[in-house]
Parts: sequence; structure tokens; C-alpha cells
Amino acid sequence: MAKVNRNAAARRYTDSTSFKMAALFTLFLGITAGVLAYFINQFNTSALIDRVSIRISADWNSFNDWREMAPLQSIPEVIDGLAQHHRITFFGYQNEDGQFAYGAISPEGLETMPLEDDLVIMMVTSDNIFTTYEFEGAHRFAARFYDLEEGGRILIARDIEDLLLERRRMQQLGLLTILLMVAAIGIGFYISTYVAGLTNKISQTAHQIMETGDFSQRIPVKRGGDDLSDLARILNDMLAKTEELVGSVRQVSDNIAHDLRTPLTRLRNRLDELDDRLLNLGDSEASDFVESVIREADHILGTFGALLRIARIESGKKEKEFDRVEMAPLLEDILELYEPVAEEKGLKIQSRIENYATWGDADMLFQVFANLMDNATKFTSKGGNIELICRLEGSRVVVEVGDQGCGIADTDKKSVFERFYRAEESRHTAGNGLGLSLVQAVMKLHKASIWIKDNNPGTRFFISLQLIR
Amino acid sequence: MRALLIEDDSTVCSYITKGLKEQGYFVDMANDGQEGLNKATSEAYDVMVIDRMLPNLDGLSILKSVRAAGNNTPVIVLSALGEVDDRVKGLKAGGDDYLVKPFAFSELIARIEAVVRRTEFSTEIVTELSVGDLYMDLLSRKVTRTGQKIDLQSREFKLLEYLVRNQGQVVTRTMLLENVWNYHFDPQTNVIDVHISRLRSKIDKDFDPPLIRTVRGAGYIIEA
Repeated sequence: MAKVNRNAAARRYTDSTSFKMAALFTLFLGITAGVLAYFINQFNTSALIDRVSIRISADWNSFNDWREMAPLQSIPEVIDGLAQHHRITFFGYQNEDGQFAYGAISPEGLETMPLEDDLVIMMVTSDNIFTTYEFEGAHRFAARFYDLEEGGRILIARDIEDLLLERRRMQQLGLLTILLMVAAIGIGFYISTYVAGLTNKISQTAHQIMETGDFSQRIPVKRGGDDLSDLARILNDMLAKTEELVGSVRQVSDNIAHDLRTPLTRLRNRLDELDDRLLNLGDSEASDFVESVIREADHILGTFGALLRIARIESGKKEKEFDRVEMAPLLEDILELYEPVAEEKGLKIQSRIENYATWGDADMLFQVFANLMDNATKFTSKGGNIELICRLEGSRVVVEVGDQGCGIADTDKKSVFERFYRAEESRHTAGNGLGLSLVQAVMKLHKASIWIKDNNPGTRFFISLQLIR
Repeated sequence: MRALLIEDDSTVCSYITKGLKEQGYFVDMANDGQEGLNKATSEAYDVMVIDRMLPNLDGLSILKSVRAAGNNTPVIVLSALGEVDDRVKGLKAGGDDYLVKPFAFSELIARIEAVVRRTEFSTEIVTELSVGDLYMDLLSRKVTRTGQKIDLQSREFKLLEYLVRNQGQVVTRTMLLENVWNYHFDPQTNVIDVHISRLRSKIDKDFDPPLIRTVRGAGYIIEA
């Protein structure tokens, strides 16, 4: 029961709000990256080359149009004419022998790289340019050769260096944007993990406190000035204050128990004396009455004693006296102690005890199992079975005490460990409602856990103790 | 019988004194530690009751000095501290028994009687015990009454042995738990009574007179 709740509390961070926010953020960034990638793709080389190729084809058409309109002009004249209109297009003329004859650009000695559509890329320097167009170093030109009907070739070239550089810059920008997005996703992930981790710690601690009622627990928080750490610290301060207040309330009740015990004992002793005198006088009726009062006083004293014992155990001082405790001899003694009680009530005790050792205080552990057996014998009706099992589960020693009583309703399962809590079904039975509180206090001191399951019929207590070899 | 009571709380003191006097003790009192030590070392007593918390000198120091001087008078240590290690400290310092305040007066008397009796007989090694017509052989672990053999389980035997060793005196339930079961714990129900009634059904049921008697509000007593 307890385990399931704890798992629910330790929710994976994927369920947390901060993670969902981060996921949304990531999705949004992803879409943006996609859109950006589409636009960057528009600047890719082949699209650029396609556009240049179309321009060069258009330039060739212009060349042919010019020649049709002015059939008498020579090729150099046409080139000069075109050059005045096309400032960024360079025309060159090669004669039949493949020699540069005329034009704004000479392909001679230029390194060329073939490209699609008969296009080539040329590494052009200012030396090969015969116009006022000047630049430093080598520029990449896209160019195409067109064969003339009368022989020779026309070279049409366009400077694409700036376009390529621009495209390159766009690509770098895109890459940078993508890197930034990846970084943003990473940071978002880190933040969501951090936030979810901290909120999980907070809820886990809160849950544990709810479950165990142990106000000494704190939210683990590192040094840091962020608002969540501040919140955790504030919650811790609040827990400290609550613990102090609960402690002082408990202190008051323990003090009351302590301070009332002495006069009450004196009262009981006086009653004893009175009883003696009544017996000496031969008034047995009055003596019986006084004895019943003494029993009442003993019951109250017992309750105070139990309260103080719980308080002492909870103060945790006894831990230093822990020793190795063999479970089998201890549980055999328990069996031996309760066997006559069970027999008197017509109950059977079935036991399956394997011997493992734990670390603890034998007297206190004996008290725990005595209390559980007390309950088991008290609540199981005639003919029922009580089970006492000691076994190994993983690296824990597990002791089970099962009865066939009326069982504990689910709503009562947590409350039974509270001081003075008595479930509806047990109100008419003897007891002070402190037995299981004492059990829990001892378990806490032993860092052991205790849980309850239905035994169908009845109740089964499970106690998980530390195993030592 | 002479008893020394070293206790600074005058209410407790007068109360114990009164009770012990009724039991036939001559009671000497000391209200502070130093005075207590002087009396304990200068005079002979049959039993001493020493409180742990005292002005000037604490109870355990007195006890240690008394024991260091070779004095073996039975001592019961009283204390408001009830933890196991306090109990162990008290017994280690030389105490014969340890009683946590507040206590029922009958509990103190029962324990005083038990430690006095224990020291009286501690010198001889006993192999046989008897009360009335009941005999216990501690070696062969046999029990007979009017010559008839009685079968007892080992815990019943221990229980009977403890009762018989303290015969004629009240034995409280806590004393039984501590000495027969060797656990310091607080049973919430009448487990001890059930064990006693079982023992009774074996040794008293078919015989007359009954040996085990319940002492109301205190415990049990076995006597012929």
C-alpha cells in the first residue's frame, strides 16, 4: 500500500508541468527550425545555379536578337554593344582555332569546373577581365560557351562570387540558428529536469511526512538563489517550525504524563494501604471495591507509562545500545509466551520461523512482537488461527503476524498507529490505544518499516527489519 | 532487620520509611549523598535503598564506594531514569536490583525481600528446593508433589523455581518477566497470569492445600 503511493509521489519528470512546458517550447523551436530550414534551402547552390543558368540563356538570346537586328555588325561590335547594356554579364569571343579573339573576358588559362547544364565555374582574376570591372583576387564566375554557326564560340559569364558568399553567410546563419536551438532545447531540458526534480523532492517529502507523520524530514536543497530553492528552504523552515510546535505539544502531554505519574502512584499506594486496613477490619465488600479502584489506577498508570516509553523511544537515545539480535530465539520466546494465552482462548498458532539476525534492541523488539501477538490473540475469535512467520525477503528480514480477527478497514489502516486511536470494532476490547504507537516508535528507531494487509479474514502485519550476516 | 534509606525527596522518604517500619524494619535515613555514604560505611545494614539523584554525592558513587570497601549488603537503586542503560549502569555499579520511580510500594517491598533472601542463601549451592509437600530437583529437573511426579515444561519449571526460591514472599509480575523470561517489557494483557494459572493447574489443581496464592494488586506468592 505504502509503496504504491510513494511511486505515485515520485512521478517521473515527464509528467511534470515544467517538462510539458519544455516539450512545448521544444516543439515550437522545432517548427521554427523547420521553417528556417525551408528558406535556407531556397539559397542552396543548385537553385542559385538554376537562376544563373536561366540568366545566361537569356543573355545568349539577347546576343542572337542583337545580331538579327543588326546583321551587318561584326561580333566584336555586337559584344561591345551588349556590354553597354549588360554591366554584369561578360561576353568573350573565341575564333575557330579556339583562340581568344575579342571581348570583356578571356577564358584562357582559367581553371574551370564543369557544372550541370553545360555550365562551368571559372576562377576569374582581374587579369582576364578587359573592362573597368575590378576586384581583388579570384572571383567565381558561372559561364557557358555557345557555338556560333559561322565557327568560333561565344563565352557568356556572370560573376556569382557575391551571390555565393551571401548564400554561404545564410547557410552559416542557419547553422548557427540551429545550434542555438539545440542549445535552447538542452537548456530547456535541463531546466525542466531541475524543476521537476525539485518539485518531485518537495512532493515526495510532503508525501512521506503525510504517511509517516515524521516531521523531522526535510526537502534536500542545494545552495542556490533560484525561486524554487527558496521555496524549498521556506518549506523546510515551515517544517522545522511545525516539528517544534508538534514537539512542544507532545512534550506537554509527556510532561503531564510524567508529572501525574508520581502523585497517582502515591494515590495507588494509599489505596493499597486502605485495602489492607479494610481487610484487617474484615470488610471484604469495601475491600473489593477499593481493589477495583486500584485496578483503574493501574490502568491509568499503565497508559502514562506507555506514553512515556513511546516518548523515550522517539527521543532516539537508545540507538547506541543496539546489538545483534537473533530473530529465531526471540520469536520462539514470543511463541512460548503466547501459546498458553492462545490455548486458553481456543486459538491455534502456526509458525514458520527461519533464523536471521538483525541489529536492534532485543527488549524493544520483544515488546513489538508481544504487542502484535497481544492484538492477534485479542481480536481472533475461538477456533481461529494466528500465524507467526519470519523469512528473508531480498536483503530484509520480514516478520509477519497474521490474525483472523475482524480486520482493519482501509480507512483505519493508517490511523491505527496514532496514539490513542482505536478502530470502531476494537473500542469494546481492553487496551489503551497505545500498543501500535509503541510498535511504530520502535520500528522507526530501528529504521524498519511496518505495513498492514488484509488477511481475509483478519489482518496481517508485516515488519521489515535490517538483515545482518 | 535494619534498612538504610538514602533519598532526598522527603515525601518519598517518609512514605517508604513508614511502609518499611510496618514490615518490621528498623529504618535509618539520610537525605544527602555524603551523609548517606558515611552511614553506609560506618554501620551494618541488612539492606540499603539508594536513590540515584542526590545532593552532594550521587547514588552510583555511594554504591561504588560501598562495594569498593568490601561491603556486600544488598542494595536496591531507585531512579527516575528508566532506560535500559541506566538500569545496566545501576546493576554494574554493584546494585542488586533497580527500580524506576514512581513505583508501587508493594513492588519495592517484594524486591527488598527478594534481594535480602537471595544474599542469605547465595553462599550455598542448592540442588533441591521444596515448599510444603512439593519438591524440585534442579539437576534432574524433576518435580513431585506428595510423591507424585508432575510434568512441567521448561519455562514452567523456571517459573516455579523462581517462585519457590522466593517462597513466602510476594513476587510481582515485572519480577517474573525480568527473571523468568529475561525481557524488560510491558505486557499489555494478562500473559503472566495465564502462565501462572497453567502452572497452578499442574501443581495445585489435584492437591490440597493450594501453594500459589494471588496477592491482589501486587503479584503472586508461593508458600505452604
